[in-house]
Formats: sequence, structure tokens, C-alpha cells
Amino acid sequence: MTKPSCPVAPVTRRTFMSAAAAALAAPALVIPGRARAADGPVVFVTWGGVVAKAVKELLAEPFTRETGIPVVIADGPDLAKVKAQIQTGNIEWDILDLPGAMAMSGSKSGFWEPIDTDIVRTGNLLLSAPTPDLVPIYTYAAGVGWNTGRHADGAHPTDIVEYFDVQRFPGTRTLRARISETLEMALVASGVPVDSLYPLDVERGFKALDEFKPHVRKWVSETAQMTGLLQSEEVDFSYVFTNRIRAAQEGGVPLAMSMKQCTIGSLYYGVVKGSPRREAAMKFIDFAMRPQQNAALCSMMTSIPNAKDATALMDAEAQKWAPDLGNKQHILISDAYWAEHYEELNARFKEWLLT
Amino acid sequence: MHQDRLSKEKGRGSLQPARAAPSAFALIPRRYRPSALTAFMTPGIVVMSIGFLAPLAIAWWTSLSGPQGWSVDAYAGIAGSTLFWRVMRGTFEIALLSSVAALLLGYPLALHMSRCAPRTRHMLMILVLIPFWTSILVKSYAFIVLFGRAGLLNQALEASLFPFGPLDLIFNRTGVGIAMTHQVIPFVVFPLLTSMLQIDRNIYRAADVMGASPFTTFWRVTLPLTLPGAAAAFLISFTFGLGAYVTPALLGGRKDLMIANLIDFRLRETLDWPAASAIAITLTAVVCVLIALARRMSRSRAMA
Repeated sequence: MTKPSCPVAPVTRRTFMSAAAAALAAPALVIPGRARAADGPVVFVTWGGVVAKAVKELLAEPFTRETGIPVVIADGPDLAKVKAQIQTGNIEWDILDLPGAMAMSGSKSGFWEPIDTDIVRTGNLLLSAPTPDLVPIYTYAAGVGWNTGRHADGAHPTDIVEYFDVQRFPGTRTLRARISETLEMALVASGVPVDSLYPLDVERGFKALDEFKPHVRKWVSETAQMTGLLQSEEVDFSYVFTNRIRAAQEGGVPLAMSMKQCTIGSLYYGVVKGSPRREAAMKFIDFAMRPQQNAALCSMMTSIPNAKDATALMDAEAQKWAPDLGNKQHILISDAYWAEHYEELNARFKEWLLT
Repeated sequence: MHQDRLSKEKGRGSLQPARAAPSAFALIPRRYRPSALTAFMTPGIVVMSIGFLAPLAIAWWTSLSGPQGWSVDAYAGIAGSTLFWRVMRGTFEIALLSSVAALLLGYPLALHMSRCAPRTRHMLMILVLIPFWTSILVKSYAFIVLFGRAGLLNQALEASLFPFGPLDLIFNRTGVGIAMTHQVIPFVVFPLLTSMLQIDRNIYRAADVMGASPFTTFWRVTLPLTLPGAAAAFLISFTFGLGAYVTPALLGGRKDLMIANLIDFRLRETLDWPAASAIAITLTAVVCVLIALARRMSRSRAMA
């Protein structure tokens, strides 16, 4: 007699008990760790890649050597996660590395601790903070870029006005798929003087963008595409960040950009409200704002330090990529303005894109 | 014969062990004893409840919360928003386009795979699965290199003196359609293949014996029998297409904004969680209605 053909293994008590035990034990693996104590490491959240490396080598490690407070670098600042942490009271993140829009949005929602001016010396900043719960650490520049292999000198725009001049410089362009920076550039291109930009004349800006719309081949939402499309020759001219062009050039890619007229955005550090490591976090921010540290960080990241006199301390190669903030040609993006108007205007902008 | 032996075993219960070991089940009165099927499904149901139903319930609750307790402001807001309706329409168009294209391309492929030898079939399955396993970012960038104005396809066409100029295949609806169809083909091929493999070979033999031409066999035998599989394949790929996010961001034009991008904007940039949840719940509700309609149609067809 052959064995009975049994399609499924019989369920004995042993198999049932082990399966049940496994099912009950599974949630234990998923439950998050207990809230960290006040003497745990300071968690600094930033954007990975070069930025994380720079912060680790030039800020976190020297800070730990000096004060003994350990610093851990985490990835991916996300306001939704900050909101969740504050709501549950389980603060995992201490300091965040925040571009303008994110910083102001968080400030409006009350996510950041007021900066402790006893610990953080805010007297020697080039650009002052728009709100008392943020510290502008450095600024970054973006401007007109092109592929040198395709466009020789004179055959490409060199400032924002020329970028929008499709008669003189025919060709496809890019713009970012967001309203901030784009609207300022459209207004400057339509003739508004840089120092009287704010408050923005929204209707005039949208009218200028209407004319420019057919010439934008791609409204970029992934930053890598800003230079990627130039490299693969899909667009003629692009709006690019200095650090990306510098990295491209060092990698041998024939891209260049004009430093004649740039948009200047700010980057802030904010401390999450209710963090048990608030004091240590404030000390870290004060450390990051020392001219020496600020200059070293910006040299590696190709940005412009916000501590006074720090620009002179940067290395020569990085100084080439740091536009002079005193030059009236550069467009200083006002984060205070966008804190009020970003939501409404960006929604209008996305609708405008669809028509 | 084999059949008789099985029916003899049935009396003892074919899923019980040969020796009647005292099991935990013996303690439960026979009426309430769970079947083996239930026992196996329980861990899965628990995981799905925690991982899927609970977050859905939270999203539902968030969409109805306002600054002063319950409010339907979020739903009223999106109902009155032209942006929302435009994006919904665009999303449905893109998902429909890519699902139909994938079905048209995937059906012949599945048919061929169901007819060839198992060895060849496995090789073809791997060829279908490799792009499926590749990261979507890598695939999207690859499409730019292939189909861009300065891309490989246009270069080849230019070299062969193609008269119609560089083809505009990316940063527009076409580009998104191509990429999403490519993305969704495995979702179409595998359900179809499964349903085709389940057709009894003898039916084809019977059709042949009765004098049906290959076309008639296909039209009157294969197609009706695989229609449920095709419907399931279409539904899976359509639902998947509705949630697309990266592909339109990288390859789409300005008119190809999808619902997922809109939810992301509300969730992470404006932190308007009720609005984001309302959009997500609306999308889920629409898909549920479509699935219910599809099931009703298939049921009425079965009865007809």
C-alpha cells in the first residue's frame, strides 16, 4: 500500500503552537525603541551624499572631540515625520538641515524650538533669521547653465534676463516645477528691478511665465535632472545649482554656468520642539556657526557661508563658486514671503501648468 | 485505482495525521473547531489588518478631522478644486492608456508562453521579470537615454535618413504611456498566463476535431475562457497605474501631474493632512466602486 496522497502537511499541535507563537511574537520586532534619554547622542538629519559626508567630517566629529557629546547623522528631513514625532511625544530627531520653504513651513506649524541666544551667538550673521526659531547657516546659488560642447561663448544666455530671451537665444529650457524661485526669475526677466521684487507682483509674473511656457521643455521636479538633461543634450539651457555644476566639471562633463546673476536660497538649522537634547543641539549649532567651521563646510559643499568673514577662509577653488552676497544683481529669495504665500501660489502654479 | 484509495481516506479525514495524536483542536468543541484553512489564513489576516486596514482607518479618520473636531471641510475643499479634478482625470487617462496597451501587448505574449515547452516558458518568464525587478528610477533614466531627442532611437533614425525629424517621445503623455506600459506588463502577463494554463488542453483538441479553424478556436474558445483572467489583469494594472508617482515626475510633461504627486504636495509640503487623506480616501473609494462594478459584470456574464 502506498502512503495516502496528502496535499497539505497535517496540522499537528506542534506546528499550530509554533505558528501561533511566531504570529504573536512578530509585533515585538516592529515596536519602535523606547524614547531616547536626555544624555543620548544628538541626531542631525540631513540630505545624504556629499552633504552628510561634509557634516560628519567637518562638524560632527570635531564637535564630539571638543565637547564629548556624540552626534549621529540621519537621512532625509521630512516635515511629516517631524509632525508625527511631535504629536506622539517620541522625539527621535534633534536638528534638521532645512531649505527655506521647509524651514518656514515648519516654523509656521510651531515645530522648532526658539533659538537659545545664550548658547548660540547670532551677532555675526550676513543674513539674519526671518524667525526666532531658525539659524541661517549658509546660502546656495543657482543660475543659468549650458553645455559647453554645444554652445560656445556668446551663443548662450549669461543672466536671468537673457535666459528668458528666446529671440536672442533660441532653444529649449528647463524651470523647476515649483513657484518659488521661478516667479522671481520671471519678474526679473520682465523688467522688475531686483531690489524691489517683494512683495511679488503675482499677475505680472504669471503673464511673463505664460509667454515663456512653450519654451520650457521640462519642468523639473528631481534635482538631478537639472544637470542631467544638459548632459544628455535634451535641453539647450537649464537652471542649475552651483554644487552640481562644480561636481560635473570635476567629473569631466562639459557643463558650465554663469555666476553673473544667481538666485540665492538659504539653508537653516532648526531644533525640533520638545527635544530632550535641546541644549546639546544648541551647542552644536553655535559650533557650526564659527567662521572656521562654516567656511570648511561650505568649501566642501560649494555654498556660501553665512558667518561674517567666513568667505575669506574658504579654499580658493570653492571661492570661485561663491557669488558675492553684496552684489545687487543676485536675487535673494525671501523665505518670509513664501512662508505666507507658498501654499496658495504653488497650488495655482500647478493648475497653471496643467492648462 | 488511485481514486478509490482517496475516497477510502476521506472517511478518516485526509488532513488528519495517521496516528490520532492528542491535539489542541481536540479541546475545542467540534462545532467551533477552525479548519486548517482558517488556521493558515489567520496570521496573514492579522498582518493585513495591522498593516493595511488600520492605516486606512487612520487616513479615513484624518480626512474627517478639522481644527474643531469632525468636519467635512477637506472633502468640500477637494470637491471644489479644479486642480483636483483635472489631476484625477489625467491620472485615470494615463492609467487606462497604459493598462489597455499592456493588455494588448501582454495577451499575445502570454498566449505564446502558455503554448511553448515549460523550459522555454520559464526562460521567457525570467525575461519578463528582470525589468520588473529593476529599480524604476534606473528604468526611467534609461528611457530618457533611449527615447530622448538626442537619444539612441532618434540617432538611429537620423542615421537611416528617417524623414519625419526627431520623434518627441519623452516629457509628454507618450513618454509616460510608454514607460508605464512597460512597468505594468508583468502584472498583465502573469494573471493571463495562469488562466491560460488552466484551460484543459482537451478543449482545443475537441475544437479541432469539430473542424474549427485556428482563428475560430481563438475567437470562440480561447478568448471567452481567458476573459476573466484578462479582466483581473486589467484591474490589477489599472489600480497600479493610478498610484504611479516617479514615472510621471521624471518622464512626464507639465500636463502629466498624477494624483500621487498631489497627495505628496499636500502631505509633505503644505502639511495639510486632512486634504491629503481626503484625496487618498476618494481614490480608494473610486477604485473599490470600479472593482465592484467589474465583479457584477463578470457575474452577470457568468449567468448569461
